[in-house]
Amino acid sequence: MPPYREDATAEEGLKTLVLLCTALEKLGNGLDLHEIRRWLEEEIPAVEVWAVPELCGQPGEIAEAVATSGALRLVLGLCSRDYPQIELHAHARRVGIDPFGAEVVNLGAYCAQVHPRPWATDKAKLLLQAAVARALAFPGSQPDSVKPVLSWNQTVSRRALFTLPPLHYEPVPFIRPEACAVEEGCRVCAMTCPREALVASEGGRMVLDKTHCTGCGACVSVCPQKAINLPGVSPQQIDAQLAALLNTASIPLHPRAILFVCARSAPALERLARNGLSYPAGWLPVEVPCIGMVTPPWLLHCLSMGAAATGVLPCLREDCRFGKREVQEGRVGYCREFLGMLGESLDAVRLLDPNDEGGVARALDSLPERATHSGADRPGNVALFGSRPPAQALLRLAEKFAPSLDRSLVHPYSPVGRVQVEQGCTACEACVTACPTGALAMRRDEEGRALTFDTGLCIACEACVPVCPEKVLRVEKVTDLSRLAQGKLTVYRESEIRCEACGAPVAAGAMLGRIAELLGTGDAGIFSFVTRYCVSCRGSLISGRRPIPDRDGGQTHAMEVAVPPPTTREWNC
Amino acid sequence: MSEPEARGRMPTTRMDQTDHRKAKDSHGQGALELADLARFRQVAYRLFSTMLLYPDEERLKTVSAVAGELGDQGDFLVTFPFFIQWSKLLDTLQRLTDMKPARVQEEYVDVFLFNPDYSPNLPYESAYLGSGAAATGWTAVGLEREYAAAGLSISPALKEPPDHAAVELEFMAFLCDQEACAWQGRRLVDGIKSLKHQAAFLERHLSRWFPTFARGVAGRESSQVYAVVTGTAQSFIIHDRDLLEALLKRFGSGADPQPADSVSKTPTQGRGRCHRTEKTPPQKRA
Repeated sequence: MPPYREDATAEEGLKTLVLLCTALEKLGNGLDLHEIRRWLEEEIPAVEVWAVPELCGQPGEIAEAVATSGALRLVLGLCSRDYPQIELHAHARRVGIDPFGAEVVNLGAYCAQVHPRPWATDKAKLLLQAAVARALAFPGSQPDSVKPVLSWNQTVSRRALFTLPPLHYEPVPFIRPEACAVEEGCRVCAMTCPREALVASEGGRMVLDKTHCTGCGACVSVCPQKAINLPGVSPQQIDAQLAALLNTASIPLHPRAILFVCARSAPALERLARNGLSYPAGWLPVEVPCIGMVTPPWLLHCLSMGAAATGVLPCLREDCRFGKREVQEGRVGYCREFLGMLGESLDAVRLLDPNDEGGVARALDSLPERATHSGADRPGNVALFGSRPPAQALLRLAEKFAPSLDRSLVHPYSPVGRVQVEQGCTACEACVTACPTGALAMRRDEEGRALTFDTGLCIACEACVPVCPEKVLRVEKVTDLSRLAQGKLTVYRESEIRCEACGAPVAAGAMLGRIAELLGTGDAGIFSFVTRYCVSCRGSLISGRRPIPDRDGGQTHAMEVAVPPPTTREWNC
Repeated sequence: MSEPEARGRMPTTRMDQTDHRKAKDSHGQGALELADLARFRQVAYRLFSTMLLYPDEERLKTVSAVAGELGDQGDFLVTFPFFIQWSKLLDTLQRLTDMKPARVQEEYVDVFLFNPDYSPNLPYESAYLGSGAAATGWTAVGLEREYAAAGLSISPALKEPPDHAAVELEFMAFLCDQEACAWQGRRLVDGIKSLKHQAAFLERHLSRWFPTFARGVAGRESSQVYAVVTGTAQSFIIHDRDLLEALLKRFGSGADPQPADSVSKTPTQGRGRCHRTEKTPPQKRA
């Protein structure tokens, strides 16, 4: 049996093997493979680069190469997307490498066939470096994060009925139970899933129905706890890739732009390459399983990291919940309006149509000349999936380009919201419990209770709205820069009624008032007793363990307590 | 279950070299027979079952020998996502003969039975599903009925309740044997019925609790052998559950040899190789 490879962490110096197909030397304008090899091995520790003849058609070479080098991670630079994936996976497993962590870069369509050799080589270096970063950040796949798919698009003979059909595996999301907030009531991923594949089980876990899941990754983007990993597109990998593409200073490729490409639309770029159309080498493609993963914060985050522009190449199919035109135009529209609010060029965010080759070429034809980050003003390795991803990106852009933060944008695709609490709140904390990010919180102090709201944590999921029993909560889809900058603010304050015996809190004043209103009970009877004393004191008072203090300062013994027995009227409220 | 199997011996008559070789050859021709797949799954379940019983010397030797034989065959396994863990498992089991049996026995007791410092990872379904003595009782009764419905009863020599991991895994091995016989006899309906039975058993029992059990064992720093065993078994069970679901979906209405009308995503196979085998209807001459 071939050796298996123990998992190791990136900090321990994970060795990565980069294999390049030698055909790339001559494909299109060609790539300088020697230069790519030299640069990668100098720039990245523990990387080894091999050029392998006919790598695209003979993935068997992988096994020998990995076995010889002892690598634990694998990156392949191939001529096209057309390669034997099942064989590649098998060969990777044979040498102990998880195939879902092996990165494949289409250096043909993205580099050699569309750009002059020097620029194509520089771009190839960047793409490969980003692929290495992704491979190193790969968190591993779980048994639950792959599903078998039987290919059965053939006429079935009787013999074929008794054989296993061609089988391949697709990645599906894995939810880390230790990070998931489903027990706290979070259902953001389930609400986002276009296939209703995520269901909260009775056992307090979010369960994925693999038969419905298509691996689009939309849940990965929206999870406020970053509890979802999709092999090959986990949050850590995306962060690593974007940082590598935008922060590498030693490649003289400027300006740079990020083009998010839906897997379904990637052939559109290949068609461009085949038809001899070219575009600036600064356009750096990032492939995602579905454009649904790419939310407005992604686009703005790239701009805040120093990209001159960002673009999306979606499928624009009406049967795709996220890829359809209306949604993509909405998302890109929000980004443009936000940039417009800051006085920036709307051209920095572009929507491409995969069915309009000329349109794609025109959209990619130019890049705005934005000042790229250098030196002190480089934002550093700020993560897309940090603790406040939408707010961070919005504020960074605003602080860079807007003279003041006194601006707001109302838009249905705003990634952040603003909670308004109207009169009638009883400080019951139902909204606090429902909020998946902790944007809503209740603070108790000497003055009473304060409901606070942190705009920077809000993801505008509106989970707080339906749970409010008084229906006094509204979420406005508005990007309010000044509120974002202010952080946590008190949106509602209420007094705390305290126990007359010990001073412990009983309930919020508004809540007791509301209960009284619902029960139609005044100060008399059991309601009065319940509202004057805390739970502990009520118990000891009724049991007679201590006398009840009067409001006038005297004392009444338990046997004398003026609590009438419940009447039919009272209990039937 | 027969007595030898209840004692944990690996029944070499069940899956012999011929079966292994057949599986390899059929993969070499590009298609794996469902019978061969079922035989492999039978051996795998039996291996896991045996390893989750108390590791006496004889049992350890047998397991080590079988692991050695399996290591030389099963090239088709490289297609499956649990292949890397399976390789590690076989390697670990082959090295058992290098370890003192007492060491393995000590680990078994420490992980599954008793440890003065922390709770053991009990290898019983009732420890993870339901709570209390009543739930334990109902689980045992339910499983005994399932085994009886399949014509089996637990050997008294085993001295374990019906919900012990080894018993449930052995039952899956039995069902896989039934399935293999059905495919070998070209009995489509029986084969599908067996697939359904296995899928239902996994869904009701093993796949509900075994992953939690395996995660607990993996968290034990002291566990070397059994973390590998239960981790691989977990991957195998989850994969099996998914594969059975996919196979049953493919068979759909049962023994109807019509082409499936669903087109699943087929990854590129390079150089445009075509997998279609369409027959053109004969043309009538004028």
